[in-house]
Amino acid sequence: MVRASTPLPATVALADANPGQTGVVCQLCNDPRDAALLRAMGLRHNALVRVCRLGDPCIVEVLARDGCTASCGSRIGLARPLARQVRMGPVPPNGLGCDAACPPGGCATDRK
Amino acid sequence: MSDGCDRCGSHSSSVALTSSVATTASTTTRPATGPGQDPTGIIRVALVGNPNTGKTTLFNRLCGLRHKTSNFPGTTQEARVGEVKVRGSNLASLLSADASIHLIDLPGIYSLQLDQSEAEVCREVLAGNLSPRGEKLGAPDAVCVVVDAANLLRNLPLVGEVLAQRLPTVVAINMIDLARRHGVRIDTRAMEEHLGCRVTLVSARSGEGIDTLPAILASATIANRTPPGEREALEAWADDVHAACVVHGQAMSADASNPQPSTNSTSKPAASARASQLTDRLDAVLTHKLWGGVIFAAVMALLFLVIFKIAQYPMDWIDSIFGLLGGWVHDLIPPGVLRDLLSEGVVKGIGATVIFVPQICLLFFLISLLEDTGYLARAAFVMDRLLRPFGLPGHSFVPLLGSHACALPGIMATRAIPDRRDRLATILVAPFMTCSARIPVYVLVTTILFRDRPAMAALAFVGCYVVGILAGLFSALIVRRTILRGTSRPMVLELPTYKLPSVRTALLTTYDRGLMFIKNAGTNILAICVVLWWLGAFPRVGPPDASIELRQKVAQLSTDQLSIGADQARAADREAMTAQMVDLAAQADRLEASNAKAQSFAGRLGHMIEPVFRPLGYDWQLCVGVVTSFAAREVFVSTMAVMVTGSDDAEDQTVLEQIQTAKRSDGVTNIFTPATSWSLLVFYVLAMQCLPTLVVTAKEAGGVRWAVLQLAWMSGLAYFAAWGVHALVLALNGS
Repeated sequence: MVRASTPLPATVALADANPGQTGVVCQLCNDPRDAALLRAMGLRHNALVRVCRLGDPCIVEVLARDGCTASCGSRIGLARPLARQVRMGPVPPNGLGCDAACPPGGCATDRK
Repeated sequence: MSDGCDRCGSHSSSVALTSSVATTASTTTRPATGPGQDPTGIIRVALVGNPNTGKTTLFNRLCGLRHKTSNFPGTTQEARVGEVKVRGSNLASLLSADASIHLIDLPGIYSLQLDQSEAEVCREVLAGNLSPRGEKLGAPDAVCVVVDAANLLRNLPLVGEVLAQRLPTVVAINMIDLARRHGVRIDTRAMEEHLGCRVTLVSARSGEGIDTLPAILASATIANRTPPGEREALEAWADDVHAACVVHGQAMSADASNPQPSTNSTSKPAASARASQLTDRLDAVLTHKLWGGVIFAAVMALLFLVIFKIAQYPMDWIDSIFGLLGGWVHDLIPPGVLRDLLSEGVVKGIGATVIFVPQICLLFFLISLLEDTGYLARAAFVMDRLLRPFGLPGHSFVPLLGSHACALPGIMATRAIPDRRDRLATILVAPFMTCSARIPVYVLVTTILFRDRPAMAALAFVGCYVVGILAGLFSALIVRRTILRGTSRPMVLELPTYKLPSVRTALLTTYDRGLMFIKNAGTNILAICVVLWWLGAFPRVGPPDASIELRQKVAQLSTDQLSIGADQARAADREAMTAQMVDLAAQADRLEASNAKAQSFAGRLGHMIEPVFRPLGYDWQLCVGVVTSFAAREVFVSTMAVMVTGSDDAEDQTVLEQIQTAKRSDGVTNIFTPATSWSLLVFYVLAMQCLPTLVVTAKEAGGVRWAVLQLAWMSGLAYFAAWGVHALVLALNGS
């Protein structure tokens, strides 16, 4: 079996999540060019992701949103500086998004 | 909801397909000959898709060897244009008799909107402003968007962007066989309704759906629906399409209409779960700080061991074949300029090029296999940690490692580097890596320096490699902080699924690269060799006095031998005379060759540039070696052998000894003093003594100015480093 998916307790930077945790992407605080690339690669707002490996690179699996959590999405490796700027939060019960879970100020708060 | 695979049969006819699309989406069906067909009957179809969607495999499956590789003018982006084989009556009924489909393989992109050279090329091609070199300018007649069946959600925004271009479009959902195994089901009819264009299921690996694809492309229509242009709305549109058309595993039977995100692992197909677990474990090891590096070093060592060991056989065969060919030309054509040109210039020139083809082909074959397994993407992260401080990305490692065999394939391999500045920096420093052409020079000079001390010679040899690598990294650092200044973007890379590599794809890649090397570099190397031959062979001069005297002695001995006759008692004298004649004739040959070289344009050039290289300790003879080896470094050794001894067999121990003890014009000082030898070694480690590399740099970097910069930087660095080393050794050693 795949390591059991653990839901995230709160909004954290991708680099601070634990391997095996599943959550949704809340915000991309990266440089606009990097953010655009990550978004196009599937790491977009509300994307369901599973953290596969932490460190450098941080590896995440972008999952399909309908129950298939293995080999149905894509696996993305991010250098640690990029992973620090991606915020992810717990999967909301209604599956509609994570806006409520994002901290006010989002990226600006993170950079302080 | 119907399973996509169930629809394969119903879409086997392009006619049925066209009517289906027209009915469901009210699209504009092209007439039988197609408005996109130009007067030549060619339908140009652009192949667009995300990376790792099997786009290239699909291209290879459709076109096979019927393709050519060029580039997009003004860019470094590779362009492959292939001709699709027209099969069956379906396509014949849609096309005119002489029609064909030209497939243009565009770079893999995640979005048309990205600020990347690949995306810019795709935008320009779809807008009709750019075409592969040699192709007609104008928008393609149709677009085929290749998407990954198991990863549709990520792929759909690109589909939307392409549909917004208002070009006849077909969506080819690739790797459907793999997706089915993971429980993915796609309703193509529903998708056609949502997209307003034809959707077809294919598997480029197994060949499923390939036979009907050309007919579908020929009947492509402009979608009657335009997805939203704004990114957020486009992503919401992609969500809607995905929710309506794709179902994964058991979720469909549970509630296909409510695609809620679920983290319940019990709904996963067991095979997918095992695959994911295995992938996690492999990723953890292969990208590990320590083990990742160890495994990568082992893989690369094995790769190059295989290249050097296996490629040596065909290289020897090629060498023998061209040797025979040169001899055959020499025997067949009467003595004169034409014979020398063909045997010394043309045959040797072609042979010098073709001999590298086995190494290049083997390198690309093995790298293609490795890439196909999904390993190289992981390895790029391992190397990124080491190279990033020098301003180079992890992608640079394979090109730099490849440059240790030959800089030409190494530079060609930089095409895999996504960022332009990273790619240019890698191209500029790749020739610092010790290529196989430097080895004969290293062998000669280290042997001279450390005669009877093989351990020291080996240490110096390894030192040359290290100095080359350090010089490359140092240069990369300088380049990234000056002319290619800019923050290096942190690495982000899709990690493809681990799988068995496709030998077919690897063979086609190898064929492609090998052919490109022969076409691009071969012609230039040939021209250079002919020019060098001319510089070394002209003007023709008569034999020197010493040689004439030797020939006269030979003639006298021959006369004496005849006078002895067949007297059995003097058989020993006759044999001694014969040996003496052979020896004298060989001495005369060497003197004439040496004199011819000294009086040639190359020799005169050596005298002319001697003042420039005097601070490095080089006399005019070494200068000739430096000049002639500008085309290829290994030429230095044979040039020195000819200059000093008149024989070009530098492996002959006597010749090596003669080179080691050869004197300068003063008749007293050795050409190869310790200071000069060290200086020469450093010069050849660092200098840009390879014209074909400069030609390839200009081609790959997109301008002659990069080649000029490379030449100036490397030559300058080599000159001053050699100067410093010469002065240092003189100060320490006194000679």
